[in-house]
Amino acid sequence: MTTKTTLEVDDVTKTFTTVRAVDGLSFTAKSGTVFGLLGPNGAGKTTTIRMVLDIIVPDSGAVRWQGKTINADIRRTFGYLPEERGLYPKMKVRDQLMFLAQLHGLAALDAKKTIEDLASQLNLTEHLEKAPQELSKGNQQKVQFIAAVVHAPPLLVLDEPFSGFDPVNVEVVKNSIRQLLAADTTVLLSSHRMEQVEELCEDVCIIDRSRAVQSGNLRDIKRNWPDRFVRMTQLPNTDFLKAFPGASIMPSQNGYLDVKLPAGHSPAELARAAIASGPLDHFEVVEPSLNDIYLAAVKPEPTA
Amino acid sequence: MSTVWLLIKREFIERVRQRSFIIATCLGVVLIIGLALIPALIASFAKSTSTRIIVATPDSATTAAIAKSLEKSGNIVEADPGVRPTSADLPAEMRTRLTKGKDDAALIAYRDKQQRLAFAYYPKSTNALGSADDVKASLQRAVIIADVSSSQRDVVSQALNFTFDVHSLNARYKNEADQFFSQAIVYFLLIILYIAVITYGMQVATGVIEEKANRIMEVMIAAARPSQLLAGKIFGISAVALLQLTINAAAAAVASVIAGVMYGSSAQGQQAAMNAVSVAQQQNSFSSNAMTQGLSHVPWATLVYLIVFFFLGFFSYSAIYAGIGSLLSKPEEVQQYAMVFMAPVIAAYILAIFALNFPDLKIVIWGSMIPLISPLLMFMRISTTDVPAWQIAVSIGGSLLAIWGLTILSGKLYRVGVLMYGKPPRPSEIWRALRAHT
Repeated sequence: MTTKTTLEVDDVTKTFTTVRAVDGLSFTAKSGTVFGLLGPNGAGKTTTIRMVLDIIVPDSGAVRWQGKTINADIRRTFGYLPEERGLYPKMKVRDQLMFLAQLHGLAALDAKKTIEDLASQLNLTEHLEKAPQELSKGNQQKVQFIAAVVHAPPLLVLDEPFSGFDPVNVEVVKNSIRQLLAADTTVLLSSHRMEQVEELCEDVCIIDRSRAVQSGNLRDIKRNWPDRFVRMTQLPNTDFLKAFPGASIMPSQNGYLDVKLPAGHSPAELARAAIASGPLDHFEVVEPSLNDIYLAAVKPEPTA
Repeated sequence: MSTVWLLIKREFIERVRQRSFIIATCLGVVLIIGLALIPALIASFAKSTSTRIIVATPDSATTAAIAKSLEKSGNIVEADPGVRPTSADLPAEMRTRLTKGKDDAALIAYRDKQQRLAFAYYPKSTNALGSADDVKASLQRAVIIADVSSSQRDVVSQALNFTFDVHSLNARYKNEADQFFSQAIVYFLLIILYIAVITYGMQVATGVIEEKANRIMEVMIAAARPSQLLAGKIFGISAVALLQLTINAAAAAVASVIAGVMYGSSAQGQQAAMNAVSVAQQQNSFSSNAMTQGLSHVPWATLVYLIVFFFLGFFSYSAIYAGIGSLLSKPEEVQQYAMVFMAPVIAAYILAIFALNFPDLKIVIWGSMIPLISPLLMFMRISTTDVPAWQIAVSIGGSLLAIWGLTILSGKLYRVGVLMYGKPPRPSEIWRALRAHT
C-alpha cells in the first residue's frame, strides 16, 4: 500500500451573501488514510465537504483530485454519506442501491454483485427486498452506508458516519472503512466523536469560524503540542502546583490527578515537587488527547 | 447508462408502481366508461319514464287522431275512459283514476264556445309537467285534422310545414347542433388539458420537495448535476403522464365502441326515447354524446394538437413548479403556495372557456401566442376556428423558447434551492443567491 496525496483543498474561500463560510482553507488528504475534518457546528465543515463534492463552487482557490480540478465526471466517482440521511422511503432497498450505484457509473452486473457482498458483510441481506420505511433506523443507516461505498469510490466522504449506530454496528462500519483503506481509498471524515476520529485518522484539520486553526498529521500535532499532560497518583495536597504558574488540574474520573502543564515548565521538576509533597507511585507524561487539542483550538462562542 | 436516463427510469418505474397511481388510473378508466354509457342510461331511463296520458275527447275520431300524434312523440296513451268532456274541468272519475293509477297526466279535449277544439292538460308527475310544451306541439296535427276542413287542410299543413334547409357556409359547423357538438368536445378536451397540466405539474413540485424533505437530495446532488436531476424529474413524470393519458384514451376508444354497439342494437327504441325526452334532456345527452361517440368523431389533427399543447403546457409549468418546489422544504408548503402554482393555468383556462364563443377576439388571438397561456388558448382556437399557420408556429415556437428559458432559470433555482432548508426564502434572497451562483 502506497500512500500518496490524492485530495488537495487549496486556499478555498466561499462567501454566502454576507457570511464567509470558509476562509482560505487548505489541506491535503492521502490515499489509504482517513482525514479528519473537525470543528464546531457552523464552522464551515459542510460547506467544505460540498466544495469537495463540487456541489458548491468556491469563490476562490481550488479543490483538486489527483492534480485535476474536480469536475462532474470526477465527482461522480466519489462516495458521500451525508449527515442528513435520506433514502427513497418506498423504493425497495435493492432497487435503490442499484439505482445509486448506476448513478455513480457502475455497470448493472457489477452493482448487483457488490450489493450482495456488502449486504452480507453488513447483515442486511434479508432486508434487500424491503422498503427503507420498513427498516429500523440502524438498518437504514447501513443501507445508506452501502449506498455511499457500493461503487468502490476512490474518495469517500463521511459526515458523522457513526451517529445512530449501536456499538456493535459502529465496529461493523469501522471494519468496512478499514477494508476500503486497504484498497487505497481516501476517506474524508467529519465527526464530533473524538475517540473515533482519534482511532481512525492519520491527519486532521480543525476548523473554527471558517478558518483552519489546527491542521496536519495527528501524531505530529500531539508530539509538538506545547502543553504537557501529566497523570500521577492523586495526592492529598496539591499546593505544590502553585510553583508552576499556568498549571491546572484537569477534571478526571480515572482516580488519577491529571495536570495540564503549560510550555516552559519541565515535567521532571513537577515530578520532583510531587514526590516532595507526598507518596507518589504513578507519574507519567501523556500525549494530549484529540479532545484536549480540540478544546484548546476552538474558542468558545462569545457570549452575547 | 446515462445519468438522465437512469433518473427518468427511476422516476417512471417508482411512480407507476405506486398504489396511488394504479388506483387513480383505474378510477379514470371507470369514469370514462361511465361517461360513455351515460347516454345509453339516459335513453333507457327516458324510455321507462315515457309519459302515460289518459286522453278524453268529444268524439272517437278526435281521440284516435290525438292518440296517434301523442304516441308518435313517444307517449303512452290510454284513450277513451268513457267520458266525453264538455269543458276544461277534469271529470271526477278521471281524477280518481289519475290519483290512484299509474298515469302521469290527463288530457281533456273539448269544444269551446266557438266550437273550436280546446285542451286542458293535467300533469301529475314532474316528467309530465316538463313535457307540456311537447304535448302541445304534437297536438297540432290532431287539431288540423279535427278542425280544418279537408279543402283547406293542405294549405294549413303547407303553412306549418314549409321546407327550411340550413346550408351552412361556416366551414366548421354544418348546423347549430354540429357547432354545439364540436364546442362540447373542445370544452371537454380543455378540461382534460387543464386538469392534466395542473395534476402532473404539481406532481413535479411535490416530487422535488419530497426528495428535499427526506434528504435523499443530499446524495443525489453529489451524484448528478442539478440540470440532470431537473430533466429526470420532468421527463420521468411526463412519461407517467403519457402512459396514464394513453390508458385513458384507450378506455375512451373502447367505451365509444361499446356505446356504438349499444346505440346500434337499440337504434329504434333509442329513436323513440330520444323523441320522448324533452329538449333540455336532448341537449344533455347531446353533450354526453360528444364525450363518447364524439371522441371517434374528433379529427385526428385535434388529438395531435391536444398532445402537442399538453406537453408544451406541461413542460412550461413543470419547469416553474420544479423551480418553486426546490425553494420549499415541506410538502405541506405546497398547499400554502397552491395559488401561486395554479393562478396562471386557471387564468388561461377561464380565458379559453370564455373565448370558446369568441375565438376571433383580439385578446384571444394575442393570448394564444403568449407562452404559459398559449397552450390552452391556441388549442381552443385551433379546434374552433381557422388559425393562420404562422400564428400556430409563433405559439409553439414561443412556448418552446419559454420552456428553454424557464428550464435554465429553474435549474439555477434548483441549484440554490435544493440544499436550503427551513422557511421559504424571500424573493430578495432568491435573487441574491441566483446572482451569486451565476
